[in-house]
Amino acid sequence: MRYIVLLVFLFSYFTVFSQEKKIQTLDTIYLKSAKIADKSVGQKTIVLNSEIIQNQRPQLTELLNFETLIYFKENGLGMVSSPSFRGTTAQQTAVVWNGININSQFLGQTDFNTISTASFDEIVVRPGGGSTQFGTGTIGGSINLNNNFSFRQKTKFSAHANYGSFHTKEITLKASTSTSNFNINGGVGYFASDNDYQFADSDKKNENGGFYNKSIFLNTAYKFNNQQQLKLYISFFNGLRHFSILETTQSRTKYKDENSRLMLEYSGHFNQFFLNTKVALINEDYTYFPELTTNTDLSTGNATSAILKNELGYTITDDILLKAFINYNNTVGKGTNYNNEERAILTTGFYFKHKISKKFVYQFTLSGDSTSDYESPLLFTVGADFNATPWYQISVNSSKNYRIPTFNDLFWPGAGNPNLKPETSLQHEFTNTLRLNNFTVKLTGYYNAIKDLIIWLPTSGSVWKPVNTNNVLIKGIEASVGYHKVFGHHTIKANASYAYTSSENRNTKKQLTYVPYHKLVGSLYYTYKKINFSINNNFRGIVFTQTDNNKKTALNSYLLTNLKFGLALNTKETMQLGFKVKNTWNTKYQSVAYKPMPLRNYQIYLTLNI
Amino acid sequence: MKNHFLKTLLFLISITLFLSCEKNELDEAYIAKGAYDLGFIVSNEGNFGSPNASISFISADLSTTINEVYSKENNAPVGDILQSITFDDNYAYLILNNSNKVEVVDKYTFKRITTLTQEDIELPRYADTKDGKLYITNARSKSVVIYNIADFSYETTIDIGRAVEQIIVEDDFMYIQNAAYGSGNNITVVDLKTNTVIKTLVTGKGLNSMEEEDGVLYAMHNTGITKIDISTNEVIGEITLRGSLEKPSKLDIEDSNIYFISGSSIYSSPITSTELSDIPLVNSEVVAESWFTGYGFAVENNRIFYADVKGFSENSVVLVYDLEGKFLKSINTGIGTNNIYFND
Repeated sequence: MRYIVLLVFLFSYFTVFSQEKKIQTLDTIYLKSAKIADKSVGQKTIVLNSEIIQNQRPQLTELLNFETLIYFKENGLGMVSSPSFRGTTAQQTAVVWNGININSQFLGQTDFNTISTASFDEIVVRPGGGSTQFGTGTIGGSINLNNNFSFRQKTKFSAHANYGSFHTKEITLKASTSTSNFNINGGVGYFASDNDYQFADSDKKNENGGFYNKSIFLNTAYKFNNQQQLKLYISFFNGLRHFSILETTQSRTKYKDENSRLMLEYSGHFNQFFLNTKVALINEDYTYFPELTTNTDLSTGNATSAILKNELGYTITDDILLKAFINYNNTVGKGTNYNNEERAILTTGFYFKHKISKKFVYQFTLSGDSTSDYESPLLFTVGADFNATPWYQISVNSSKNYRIPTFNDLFWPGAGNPNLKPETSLQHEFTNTLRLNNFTVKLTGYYNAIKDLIIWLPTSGSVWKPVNTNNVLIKGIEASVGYHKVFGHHTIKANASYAYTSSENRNTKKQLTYVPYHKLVGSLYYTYKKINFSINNNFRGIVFTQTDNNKKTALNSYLLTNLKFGLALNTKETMQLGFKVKNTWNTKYQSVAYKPMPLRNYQIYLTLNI
Repeated sequence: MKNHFLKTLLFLISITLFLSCEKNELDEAYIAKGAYDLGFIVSNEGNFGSPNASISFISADLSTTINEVYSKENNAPVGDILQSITFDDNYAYLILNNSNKVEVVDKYTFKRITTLTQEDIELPRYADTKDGKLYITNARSKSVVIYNIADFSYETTIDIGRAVEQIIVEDDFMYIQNAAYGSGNNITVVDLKTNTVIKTLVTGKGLNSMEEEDGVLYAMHNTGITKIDISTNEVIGEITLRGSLEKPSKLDIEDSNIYFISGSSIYSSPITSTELSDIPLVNSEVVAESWFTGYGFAVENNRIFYADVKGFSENSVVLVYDLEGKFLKSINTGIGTNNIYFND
């Protein structure tokens, strides 16, 4: 039955709003913090605006799971969560905060449940390689967390409160104000849950699974004149999670995350020249408590990165742009397993973009690192967009990308391997875009050959060591259709995307674990006067949990559907009350083996915008 | 641990030797006490954090294998990290490290009898039994927890205050290995009459395994084997390494021979040696990507077992050899095979 509903939804509405950038109707000047689309010639970008962001839990996992083709491996709701983007591993997706790669220095990946989406104005997802632009781990794609500024806007205030099953509480407060040359915006978020959901077919509950997190952000921009601007970004996240257990006798543990980020950005135009400088301090800090109630035998890690990103541009003609960039990153790691380990990386590169005609534009980027820690390959990106007709576009892109060894890979006591090479990826993609009336259809094929995958294996004794061992070949197809229409008081936006992913270990010819062959997402947003309604679907095909593709331990496919009903309480529509149903079909599912996820659950919310 | 039930097996071992091709005669000579009597019990520890530990049974003639023995018999998963199994005359004690529990099962049927969950059982590692008592070492509480087997009542906890691993209870003392994961070189001696620590023995660095045979405790470490007389608790000698041999581990004594591994190779030397041989009995010749390093290694009932744990990312394969190192069979088991025992 539920599959029929999905099919009806997909093919009768067939409706999708383009995941392209939403048209801004406000007559304010927007300064995008990172012009990602500009530098993505030959690639797709998917923009998730604040309206879509607020539709989901304030953790990056649920938002991206329902809005994109990325698959998330979540160790139980709200627990550690890692992505598989275009068939790649958890460490091959870059999370980029206002242009700065913030993947953990220790793990080389981001825990997607430690990013509070409430802190951002938009989240831009770009599938495919981009290490020349965002550095290590940009192989499957990048997730860009952006804060934007607008001048001459009205003073705004918003409050959002959400309460639901398992005592899940969410409060977000945001405010922004501006003058003609100054903007300040900030906010606080709080999210907490007992998370003691009932397991299916069992009298057991999710034990020791509670968590809370707090996030604060404050951003300001100052415009000296039309040529020069200064921006300051501050972001802070503090979270405490109990790690859920399956047996009452198991040890109750907890984990504390603290992330602070500070960045100053200057940009200036001088005739044909353009200068952009970013100075950032990024700190990540974790503490693992092997016992809830005592502070003994803690494991800690703290890494501070000082980052300098400089870009000098020269506009040769209106259609030809040349840029040179030089980035410096110095990271110091401390903690129970790291002894003030330090790593410095200097990256230099060139960027060239040429618009030959209105129909044809291409770009290429070349970059390389110098560091003592690993042998650095030369990286590149080449891309072109060709608008064959006003309604049909062809895009091609090729790139070489890498993931460098992490602090754990290099320095873990007794196990770190200083001779590791970076993982490298050579990939090609081809996208057809068709725009007809209110529809946007995209069809993409890609190919990605990854070499020297770093895998931890047991070596002599019971010591595990990371080694460069596997080669992976990924081939995939992505199809999406979007629809957006406004008629009378009705607004419909809809979207459906499907991915087929073959990600094969070249040595064993087996599909990588936790890479679904099939994933499908579809959403519909509908507004009529004071009423709004949305439906979000996420279908994931079978995934293998063992490298030999053992069918007995594979996780079955599932369909998840979330519903939302909202109603404006006053004529100005500044107050809205709503109701959400999660996992409507009461599907019993796991995204990681042996970690049950919640059945149907509910939330109510109240939003105030003034 | 393995040795004392093996001692009682000499008769059966000789029978199986002669009758390995003629199973019927064995059946006539001995009536099995349950489905899992007279065969090899394989402990598959599973992935840390997942309840996928399991037990496999391999018949004495290696002809049949039954996986998931515990869940088949009890309709429930066994737990999270099956670190080790200890046997006595009636029971098998399944030491479940990350479940903080010990499952007690009938050793012939593997039906669950009870579960031991006393709060000092925190990350349990190994156990031994003697005179109706069960002694369990615990990594988190750094202690030995003692149970009375007659009614499975908790008796007491002895704090050791440092790393505890393998435990051997023999005659009047218990010997606790204070070394884990390649570091440590001490053995704590506890007097069974008073349950107090009376001595700390010093071995070579990187103590990794130990076994008692004929009144002597053999403690294997990075540079050889330290021998301890268990009547006096004094170090009485050292067996050193010959030639190119490096970091031997997984000591197993069977029929007056010392078996051990180094890297992917299996070695043996007579128990009377003063030097351990550097000529492998057999090299398991692992393919490069599976890093075959003998995570599970055991010599039981005239068979040598060497487990390829495949990086814990799929089910293990156990390679079986005879005592001359001749390859006999490879058998698919469960995730992370860490030891093989003979059940009788």
